[in-house]
Amino acid sequence: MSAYITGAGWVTAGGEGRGRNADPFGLYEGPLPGLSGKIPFANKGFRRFGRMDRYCRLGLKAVNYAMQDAGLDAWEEKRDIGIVASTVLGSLATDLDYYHTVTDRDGLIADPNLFTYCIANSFIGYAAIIFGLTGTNFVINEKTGSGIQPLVAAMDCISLGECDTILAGICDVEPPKSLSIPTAPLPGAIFIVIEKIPARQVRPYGSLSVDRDGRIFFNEAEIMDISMCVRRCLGAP
Amino acid sequence: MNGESAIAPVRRFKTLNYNSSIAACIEDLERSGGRSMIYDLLDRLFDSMGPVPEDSCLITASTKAGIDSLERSVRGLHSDMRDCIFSHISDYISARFSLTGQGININTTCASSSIALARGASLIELGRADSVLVCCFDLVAEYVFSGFCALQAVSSTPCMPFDRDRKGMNIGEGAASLLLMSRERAKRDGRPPRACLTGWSVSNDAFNITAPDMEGNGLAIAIRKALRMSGITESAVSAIYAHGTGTAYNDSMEIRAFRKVFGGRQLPIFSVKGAIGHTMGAAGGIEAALCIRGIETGIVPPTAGFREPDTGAEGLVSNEPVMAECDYILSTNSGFGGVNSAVILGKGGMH
Repeated sequence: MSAYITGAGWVTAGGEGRGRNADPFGLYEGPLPGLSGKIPFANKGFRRFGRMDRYCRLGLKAVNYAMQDAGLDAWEEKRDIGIVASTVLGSLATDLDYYHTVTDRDGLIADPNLFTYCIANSFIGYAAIIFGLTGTNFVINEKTGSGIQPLVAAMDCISLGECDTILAGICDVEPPKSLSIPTAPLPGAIFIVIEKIPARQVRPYGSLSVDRDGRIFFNEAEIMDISMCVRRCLGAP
Repeated sequence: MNGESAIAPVRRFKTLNYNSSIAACIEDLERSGGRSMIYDLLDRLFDSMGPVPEDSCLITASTKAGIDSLERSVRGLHSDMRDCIFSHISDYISARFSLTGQGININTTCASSSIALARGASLIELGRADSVLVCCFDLVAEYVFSGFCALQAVSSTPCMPFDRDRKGMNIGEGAASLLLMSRERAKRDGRPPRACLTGWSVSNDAFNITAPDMEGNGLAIAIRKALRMSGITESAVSAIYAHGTGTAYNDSMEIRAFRKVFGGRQLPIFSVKGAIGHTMGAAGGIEAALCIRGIETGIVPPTAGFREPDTGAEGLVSNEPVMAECDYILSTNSGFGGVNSAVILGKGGMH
């Protein structure tokens, strides 16, 4: 089974942006670009971005770039589009911030707003609201943050007819400095849009396929992680 | 089956400053050294399990894994933060059963387990695996308890799913494991199938991050897709094992979704939350296990805590066991982030 990549967006230490803008791309160790301020959502009524935790802002910003890149950001009616993401640490940094509000005064000032961001799928929920996405959606915790698992799962969803258009990607912020995390992933968020049949005037970057062993191929060449997939989309050998 | 509830006063942490003091805890769960209690929970689960083929894929479902270790770390107590890393728990389970592959965890709030089951079934359906172990688990911890209390979602009395006087949810802890196999593999290994996972679907409300779409549109989408994948019509479903948290919003939303799909049919609806609380990431797995028992016995369990039906739930929910010819049972979950899931289980010999 093969499908097509029609959009790519990212926010990493190597830069932020989307494929068709030829923005700089690279998944590196280092500080992430600023995640504060406003971002140009097609849904102009959405104003909550600045109040979100870093993990949610990071994922949402990368999804926004990917949706723009695929020409799917504007909408009028909710759509059967899915999202599958993987993360190693999820909301761990926010979990820690929240639990400090619990211990400060034995629970008296536990912060309900912060608690709503203590879920791994917070940015998917907001992306669904902002872009009207009603399709399959879930988060996978991977060991390494390679992003292969969400790509495989997304392709499986298309194969089984669960949806025809789906985003797949990774999202991890820097690990909390106060905690010793043995296997911290590279910080950043990368998302691609995968379509069974590209239906709009957007030229696909190439085809994506998965074999029986769960190996992923871009234009029939195996890719080892989602970063390599995006590099190939952008023309790297 | 007696309609009893395990929801009781919490002894694990102080509840003085919260608007509830009850949850469904396994009272004698132990922490060994600085490790999370999650290992004791898993060990108890696995001690009662039969053999698992070493070539099985592993999919776990949990929202917070060893969150008690994070709590202890913040409080300056001896702990191992690896317990909060899902792959560490997966590695522990893999080692326990000598599994050869690397596991993944599904972490999508209250729908985590049912999505894990769906992904496991997908692997088998697509021929990429013929045996998948799905393990679901979550703990009651002050971290989670305080959060739901802060959101005013927790009842100070044992929860009453689908009852007109319901006042909220109670959290609970638990674990379940289900071994999925292809028909051929089950036959080869001499394991008669107890049930068949015939269809599944996941949807999003695209409405609100914490509150459900009160019209039940998102859940109705998931149910209809799961029916389509199963190749059955709504008339074939014998009972619904609902999410039924006991919150005003969730239960009303679910009834609306069920009415959208099943119209005026009087099919039995059951929630286990009044008995064992809301086990979060483990909920869908525990409920799927109960579906299997329902299919085998033809008895839909009583909904503990239920007394008087909410509007729309009249004649659907009971605090007594209900006899039903359970060819197919629908199980649903919904959670933060707008996620909804539906899985359909049928008799083992049907597909």
